[in-house]
Amino acid sequence: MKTTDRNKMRKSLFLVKAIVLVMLAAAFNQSCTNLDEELYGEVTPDNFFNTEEEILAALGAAYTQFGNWGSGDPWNLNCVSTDEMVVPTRGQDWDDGGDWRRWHLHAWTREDGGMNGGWNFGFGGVNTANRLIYQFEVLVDEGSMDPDVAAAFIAELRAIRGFFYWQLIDWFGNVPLVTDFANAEAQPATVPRADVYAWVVADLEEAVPLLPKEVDGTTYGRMNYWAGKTLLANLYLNAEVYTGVPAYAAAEAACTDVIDNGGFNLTGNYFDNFSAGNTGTSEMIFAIPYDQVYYGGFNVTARTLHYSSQYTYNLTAQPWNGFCTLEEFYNSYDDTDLRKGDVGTVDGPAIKRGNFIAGYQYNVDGTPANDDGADSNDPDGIHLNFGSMGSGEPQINELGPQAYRQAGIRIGKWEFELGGDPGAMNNDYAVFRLGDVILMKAEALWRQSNNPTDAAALLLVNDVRSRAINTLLTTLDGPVSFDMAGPSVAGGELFNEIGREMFAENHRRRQLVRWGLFDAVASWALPYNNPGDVLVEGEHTVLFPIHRDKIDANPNLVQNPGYN
Amino acid sequence: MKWMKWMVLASFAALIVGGCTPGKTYERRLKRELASGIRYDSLFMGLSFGMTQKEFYEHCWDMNKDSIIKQGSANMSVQYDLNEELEHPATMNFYPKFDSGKIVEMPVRFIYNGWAPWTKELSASNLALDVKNWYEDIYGKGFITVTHPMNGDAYTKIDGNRRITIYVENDLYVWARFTDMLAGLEKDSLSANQN
Repeated sequence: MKTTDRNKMRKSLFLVKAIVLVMLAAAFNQSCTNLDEELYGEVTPDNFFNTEEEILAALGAAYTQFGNWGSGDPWNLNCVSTDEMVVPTRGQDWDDGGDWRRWHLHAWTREDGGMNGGWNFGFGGVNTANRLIYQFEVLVDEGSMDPDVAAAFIAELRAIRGFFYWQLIDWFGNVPLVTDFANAEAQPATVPRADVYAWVVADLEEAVPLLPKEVDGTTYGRMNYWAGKTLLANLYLNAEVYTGVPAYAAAEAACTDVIDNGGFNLTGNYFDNFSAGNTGTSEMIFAIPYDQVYYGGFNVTARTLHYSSQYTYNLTAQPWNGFCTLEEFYNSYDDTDLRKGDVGTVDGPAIKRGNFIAGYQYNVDGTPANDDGADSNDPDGIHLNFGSMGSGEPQINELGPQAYRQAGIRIGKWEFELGGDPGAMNNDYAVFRLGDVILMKAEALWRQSNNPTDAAALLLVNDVRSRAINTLLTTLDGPVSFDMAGPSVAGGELFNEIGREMFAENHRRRQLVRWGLFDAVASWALPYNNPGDVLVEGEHTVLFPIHRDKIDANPNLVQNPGYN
Repeated sequence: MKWMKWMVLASFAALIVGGCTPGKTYERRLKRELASGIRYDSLFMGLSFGMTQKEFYEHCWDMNKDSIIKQGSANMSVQYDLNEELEHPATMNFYPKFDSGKIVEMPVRFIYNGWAPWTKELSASNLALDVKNWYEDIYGKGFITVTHPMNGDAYTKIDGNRRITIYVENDLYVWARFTDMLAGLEKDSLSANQN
């Protein structure tokens, strides 16, 4: 993309955020005082949007559900259930009824709130898209909306709906297929995963070509053609998991279209994509434009940093000392890999930013950041040291109940702004970016050739890798990241490389599933000492349970095996 | 680009021009309650306006230890499970707004646990009514209905400095918002009308 185009994009992005502001203002506006007594009602033609501005603002409502992608249950389902992330129970912090330990131990149950959260994320998005499609169609039928205008919006909504259905079948497998707002069944039955996949892919293959190909401020943060193609590529890449029938050639073709024709470029600096000012980088295909004022909710700063880190970054509020990465995952990065970042030492703070915050921490004035509440038996003492770096101790002593307050290397991928609000960051969150698409194509090629030295696949992998590390891969096979002393695994090094590049970007669970490794949880699980905690292995854990409350409300839903 | 500019401007205009006309009943009640000089600071679960951040954390910590509340599912709030209070099992998430280190507003988000697109009885519209009925048991009668052009109806009640507003966010969620009307946080036209 030309620099001038990106400048134009940046200038116009305030408009995107302003749209979000309008939506939020509408949602939170309480200044209305028409006192006519009216009962809440279902959607009727009388309360459809009647003006064009209402139509456009309504379209924005379809995107609000994406706000949970970078912080809520989708993140827990896709990341905390894997070998890349964990939330230890630090005494009485982060106990939460054992929720976080169950994520790590794969011991989730049909009563865990996260299952409801994932379901609500998916079907909330599906329902909003269905409702808006229905309303637009009625307006067209009434002659009050231009059919061409409606067709463009409806194609966009179908792509959005496809995204949410992708997540639903990925997490829950068989789910109801609801595509019509007005004529939805009262208690629809679960539909086989393969059938839902087939319907969603067919719908996307029809809708995506109708989406705009422009990459500028008008399509940033929206489902344009390239975002739709990347969505399809993801579905194809996982088709074998979802249906038993691979579609790697289709995945390769979709990725090739995006890579060759989308006009995207890898940024020279990996971290440009995660900076506080990362809006509109040349690598962004589909992003959530989080913003402290207009679109809050991205809060990895709060979730990962220690309480005392408030003074490292002069944050406006105290972080919560929760999420961190696992030792084996961190160690799967070579020390020369720029994505790993520096380690703070007793002599001074880390200099180079990385995906992680490791080692000794310092206040913004250069003085040591101390944890006055440090556990008395923590060998690190009060000088804050993430991951016990340099001590020879494990980076995380245990999952619970007494993980040290300083235990664990933290997530530093997204820039923490000095003076920022840890609960509402300004960084945009890439749902799809070019680096991911290149690696998807490499995987699709490798899975078709089954050749660990597939030259085309290696070229693509090294294209992404080389901006972070000088040593290039010569084979795609190798031990996997959580068992580096173990045997070589087919595609193991490709698996590791995707993990290193896409850390904490809602990818890891699907990777583990495609490699058949998701239920190898015993290989990466931390020592767990809470009474009652159990480690659950088994193929059934590859799918999450449908929450009990959903089953209770609809007896036609069939629970996934192993959760009754 | 042009259509986006137009969309933004038109949307703001719609909010400003097409917004609701201030109603006399609401204004009268607001004026009367603010003039009463009576403070209603209590919220729920022992929380209240004016609590410091430290007091809030400590109180929530205690409730967390007692397994009354837990980290919210979106990692951004405090979660409390409503098993008996409403017509159907539901979840409420809350996290206050602080001004000068003290609670001045408490937004609370509700959802029926069994929500799905096809369970119409578990719609946000019904949930809002359910929450209003529950709150009438707690905070007393007197909610009035106000209408928003894009978000449907809302219920509001004012007692002294405490305003409670209940409204639907979307197909899933309902918000109840407790606002200390004397805390200087309120910026909408209603408070301006009282000056």
